[in-house]
Amino acid sequence: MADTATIDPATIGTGEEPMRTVSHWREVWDAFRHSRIALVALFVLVLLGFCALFAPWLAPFSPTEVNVMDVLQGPNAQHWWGTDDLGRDVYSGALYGLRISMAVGLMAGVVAAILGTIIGAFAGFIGGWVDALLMRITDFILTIPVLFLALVLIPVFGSSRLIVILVIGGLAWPSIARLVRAEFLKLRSEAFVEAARGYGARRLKLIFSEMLPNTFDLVLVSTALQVPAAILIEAGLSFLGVGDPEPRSLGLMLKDAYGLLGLAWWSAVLPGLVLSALAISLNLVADAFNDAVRGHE
Amino acid sequence: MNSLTSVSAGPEALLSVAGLTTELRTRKGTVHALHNVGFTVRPGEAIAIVGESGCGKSMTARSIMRVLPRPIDKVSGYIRFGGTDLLTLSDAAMGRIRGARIAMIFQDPMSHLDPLMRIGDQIAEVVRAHKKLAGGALQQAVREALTAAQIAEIDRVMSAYPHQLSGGLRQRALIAMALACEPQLLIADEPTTALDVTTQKQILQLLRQLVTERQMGLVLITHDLGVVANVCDRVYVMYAGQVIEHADVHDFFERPQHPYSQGLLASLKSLSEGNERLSSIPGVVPNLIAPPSGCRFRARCQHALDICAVQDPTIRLCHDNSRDAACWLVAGKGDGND
Amino acid sequence: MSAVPRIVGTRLVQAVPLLLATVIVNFAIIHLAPGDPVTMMVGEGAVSADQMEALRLSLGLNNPLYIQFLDYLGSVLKGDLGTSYVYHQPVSEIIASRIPATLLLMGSTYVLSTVLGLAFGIIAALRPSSLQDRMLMTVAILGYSVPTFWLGFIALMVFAVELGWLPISGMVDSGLEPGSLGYWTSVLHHLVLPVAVLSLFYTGLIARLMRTSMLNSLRGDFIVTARAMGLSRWRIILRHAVPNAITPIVTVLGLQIGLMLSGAVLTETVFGWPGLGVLTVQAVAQRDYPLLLGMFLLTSVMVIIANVLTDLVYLAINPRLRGNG
Repeated sequence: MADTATIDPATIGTGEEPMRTVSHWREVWDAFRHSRIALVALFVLVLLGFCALFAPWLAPFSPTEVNVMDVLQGPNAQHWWGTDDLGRDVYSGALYGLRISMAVGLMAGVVAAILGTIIGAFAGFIGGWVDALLMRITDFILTIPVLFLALVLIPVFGSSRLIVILVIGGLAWPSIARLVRAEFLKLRSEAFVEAARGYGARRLKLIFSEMLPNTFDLVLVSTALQVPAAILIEAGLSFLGVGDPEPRSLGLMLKDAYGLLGLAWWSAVLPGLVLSALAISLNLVADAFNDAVRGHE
Repeated sequence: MNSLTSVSAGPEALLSVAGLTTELRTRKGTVHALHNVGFTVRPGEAIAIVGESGCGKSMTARSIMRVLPRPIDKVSGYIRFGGTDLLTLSDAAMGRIRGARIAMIFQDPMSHLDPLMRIGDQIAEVVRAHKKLAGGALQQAVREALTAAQIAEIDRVMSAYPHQLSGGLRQRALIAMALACEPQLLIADEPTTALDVTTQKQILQLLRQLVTERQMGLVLITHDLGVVANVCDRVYVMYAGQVIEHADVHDFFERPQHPYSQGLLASLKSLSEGNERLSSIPGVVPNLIAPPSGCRFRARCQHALDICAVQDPTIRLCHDNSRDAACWLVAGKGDGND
Repeated sequence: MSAVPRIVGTRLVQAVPLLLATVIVNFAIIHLAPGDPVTMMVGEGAVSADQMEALRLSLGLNNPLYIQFLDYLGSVLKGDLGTSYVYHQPVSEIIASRIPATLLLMGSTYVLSTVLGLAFGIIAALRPSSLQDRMLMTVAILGYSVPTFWLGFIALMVFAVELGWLPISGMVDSGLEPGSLGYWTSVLHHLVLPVAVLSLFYTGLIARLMRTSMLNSLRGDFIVTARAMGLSRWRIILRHAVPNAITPIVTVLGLQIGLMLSGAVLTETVFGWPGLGVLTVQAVAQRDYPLLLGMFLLTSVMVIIANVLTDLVYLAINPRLRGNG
């Protein structure tokens, strides 16, 4: 388009900018910093990450240690967040649970990112019927209720952490694949790729040296948007009894607390708050990050 | 501000603009999109505003209509139309002028028509916004507007969605919408850029005819100097948000004064085709977040003097109907006696 | 207009292999399950090996897998989904009896969250970055970040256990005559909490989606035209910006019907809502294969129906798809 009434005022006379370089990340960070709520969320997230990482040092008790003398205690000096019906320390359980949630969420995100990038790049680069078929599959998976399917798949494959991660991540890639594909289609028509286009090994080299690096930030952003969803699905599965097999995770703690309805509010409220804080801060950070990378309000 | 005092549009001016300055508040900073722009249009006259992409032509149109990208963008200066300064009007009063007394058409009629609404309904909506018409009278007004835009198959066009029409018919539909309330002034922003050569000619003919027959004022915004020569009476050249030369269409093509205008015409003549893009002057348009001091064309000008870096030549430009150029090289030559 | 039957036809034809594939995949997956249904049924060591074997035989579990599958497929075509190991009742009857409860929960949630989500998205987009925008969007993010099941039982603890305003569990008080006014009042009473909790999630999701789409629509060239033609602000918003914002997200809105099943499983479990979700959780725990297979089939049919319906709605509101007639 030439000079039209639709001129984007942000580009008038500002000249062309180099694509995705170190200064690009600087710009993303500057845009991210603009949002105060995103900064707060980032702080909370870093704090939660710290707690998860150092849980064995921070937790005063073993998360699974049963203590019949200290059953159903409210928050007190010894058990800061109280105990459950088996006398297990809620605070220690939440710290270890945070570890599991974060590990499963991140690993599922990595699985989704790898699958999404490969499938999206393949579809976008090859085009034609391969593209059409892959996108149909992608669209179909987008319509599947993931938690519902996982609920039935996971007990079939056996409840190991790897299975949980593979099932959740294996159903979370479509939105990433779509983004990568769209970006590949765009890059494919761009001059610098057009000029360097060739066959065989040169083609592969092109994908790895030019196209993939250019989609990196988009993949990162859309993966970041999948992680909180994956964490909530894992917690939901644990709540239904088919999540991570570890004896104490946030979802399982909530399942146990549900059985104590009204008897020990702390065992339900506090782990749930930790889980909510994790999902909220992840979503807020991912969202602000997404806005910053794509550059609109 | 010289230009503010030198407005001598005369009593017959339909629209006179002076000192028009527009600032766009973007995330990257304030873009000084327009600086001290001035021009006049008389009834039955077609003026052209020409320049490269991003020179502020479209922003000039949107500033006059007060339809800027976001509410915090700021327009100042003076836009006199029908005895009032449009910039002092309330939003409601401005709404009664838009579409009724000043109308506007655009480059890409496909994207400027609502894809989900039939053409007849879109035109009727505009008529209803300004006149108390309903039922048969409303339908009649819509038909008259389509006739005025020289559309033959009125029934088909009325019941069609934009995607079902050809590019030329879409632009005519947009013109019909603009003409529906018989405006005194029409602003046409690159109305033919997206069309093929034959359709382009027909649309331009239609616009010229409307100017002559209805004594309508026309502001034609374009980068195509061929279009200018065929349709317009006078020319305003814009560069980096400023008017840098204005002249009678003959004088402009015979003896352009500003080095930029000379470059434009030279590049036009060097090409066998007349409708090529204006991009053959070396260099780029300056950054309008931090515009350079002095003359904004200086960096691309072969004749730049010392004064060009210090003093902005547009301050001595007079915005009357005579010719003038904002350039220190032609200082003194253009004071209305050319 | 000839495109309408063609698109519907295409979708229905595509649905057949999709359904068949689902049946095959589901059957295969379920039969990879480690748990032995007979052991699950009667309990470990409760009966002798001979009795076990007789039971296996009667259930057809000793036949080769492909025979079991063909048997199953044949019955499915006849509308017979087999007999539940646990309930000893036809699967189709058990499922059918649970459908109304889930439909009521999901339908109410869908209507409520779509209306609220669209409204919030529009309001937020009208003044981007304003206080109202930031507040609405923060609440929206909270809505889909807070785990539904946790929020559900916090709500139970507050409104049912502590305050006693709303019932703790189930869908209706016992002893009421079905169809009477008191019956339906009781159902509504039971519906409030689950719908409120589940709606919060989907309202947040839809509000985010609508805000983005509305911002795009408001940036459209036809909005500039409408402004330049002197149309009033509200007319521009309601007649031009909103329809053009909803059109591109209709597909996603439609898909939410199927996706909502995930939320329904959790919500039903928390609120003891006697629907398909609770049924599935029990079937998983008890390895009730016929019931699970039936649930899968039903889910696939639901997802496919939601897809076709979404296409039809999209077709109805988007003239560009109706050809150049």
